[in-house]
Amino acid sequence: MEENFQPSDQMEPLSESDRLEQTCIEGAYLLQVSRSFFPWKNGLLLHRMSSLLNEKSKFHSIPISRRMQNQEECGAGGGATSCEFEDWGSFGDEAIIQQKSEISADEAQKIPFVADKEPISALAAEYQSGSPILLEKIKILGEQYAAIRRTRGDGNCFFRSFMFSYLEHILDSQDQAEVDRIKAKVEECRKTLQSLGYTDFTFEDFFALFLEQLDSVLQGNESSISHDELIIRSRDQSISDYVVMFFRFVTAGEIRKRSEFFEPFVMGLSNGTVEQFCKSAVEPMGEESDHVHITALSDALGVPIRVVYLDRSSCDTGGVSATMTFSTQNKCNCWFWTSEC
Amino acid sequence: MQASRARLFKEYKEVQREKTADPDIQLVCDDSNIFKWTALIKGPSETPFEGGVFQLAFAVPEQYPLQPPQVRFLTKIFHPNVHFKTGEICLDILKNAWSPAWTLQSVCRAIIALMAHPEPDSPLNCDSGNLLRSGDTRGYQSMARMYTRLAAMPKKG
Repeated sequence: MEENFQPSDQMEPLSESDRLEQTCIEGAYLLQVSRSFFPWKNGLLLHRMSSLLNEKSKFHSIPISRRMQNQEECGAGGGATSCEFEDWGSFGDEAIIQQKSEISADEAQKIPFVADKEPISALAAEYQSGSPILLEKIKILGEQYAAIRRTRGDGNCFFRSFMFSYLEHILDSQDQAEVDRIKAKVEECRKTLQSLGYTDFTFEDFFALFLEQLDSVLQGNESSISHDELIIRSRDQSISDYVVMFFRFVTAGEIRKRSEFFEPFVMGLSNGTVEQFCKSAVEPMGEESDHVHITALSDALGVPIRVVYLDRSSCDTGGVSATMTFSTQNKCNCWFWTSEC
Repeated sequence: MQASRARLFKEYKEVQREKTADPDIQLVCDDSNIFKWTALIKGPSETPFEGGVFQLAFAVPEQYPLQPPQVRFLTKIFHPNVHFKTGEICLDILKNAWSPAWTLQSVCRAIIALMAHPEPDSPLNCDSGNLLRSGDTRGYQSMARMYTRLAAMPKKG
């Protein structure tokens, strides 16, 4: 497992992708737009050009996240919140939470949890007046991907992108063997959580809802759903958020089960223990995902994920195709576009 | 709505089953509304709250357990992280660090832990927080103990 985290030698993106083609599940690719210089922090989930159908219309992408002004800590105002309050609705923190939910509602109007497919050219158009390096990188993306789907920037973008891509992949492929395989993995995750001391009823509803979605994307049952229905469900908060929460439980379970492995990486992200990290940065909804989350989810479910990172960096030589790769699985699969070259 | 009801019902059954598991917490669901709960918690020993019994009120939102329950002290308490007038509690798991892995029961345990380990740097009760921040532990304990006696001790006789 250890060698997985070592950056491998630089590789040409296209040849690498050829290799990936054989081992990766199509569809689970995420392009995360750098958060530092865009007014909206988002990621784009890209569906790979279908090697089988070889038609550009098949792919999608998804944007990730815009974190709300989440900074208001509950005690930050100190006595400032100490007006006379009579009922639940007028508490200081309540007001903050309400404001946050208004911001979320505002955001929700701009972009659904999972948006419609857009051509890569839409992404290029957005950065038309931006850095030429970005445009160059988007061009390279266009050579490998035909479309993007944006996801809402609510901190759950990674998990939601994964949910949609994975379920869409099953719906398209009707791969019963894969469904059986992942169900076995899900059962392992359940046992992991139990052995870590989680109370069954705290997570079982989320597990049940995910398994239900998994069954319904397989055709031929009464509960089978169409592609359109999958999109509708992915946009339905009561379903979508429950599946996101399922992945959060799975991720937390994996990180804690292999806490010795994850500890050094967690230490790079937070000051606390692995358990505290899971409690504060994995389990709560809206907490953004980092490489630790991505690796853990991929390992727990045995599903390869490729992350493509789009930012303004370039090589000293001016090249923009430099990549650093690391794999989350023995099957190489996780992929960052990044500046280190 | 349906999901939150089902979850709360599971918690209710668990509470009934484990009634004696935690003698410091007595969690009770409203007879007619599963979204309203109250709890009686014992002040932790070796704190100024020892000997007191504190009542908490829970209002559970429809989006529970994706969203946290609203909890406040009904019993007056002098504590840096509890609003002196409203009983509002400043505790991360009730705000941004909430996750469905918590239960009403474990929230009560977290509140008891908060009583024993105040966080004076994020105060809702500034007077209380300032005593601790200025190092006047004795002053803080004295005030906290006084309010415990006044508000949280069962009346004798």
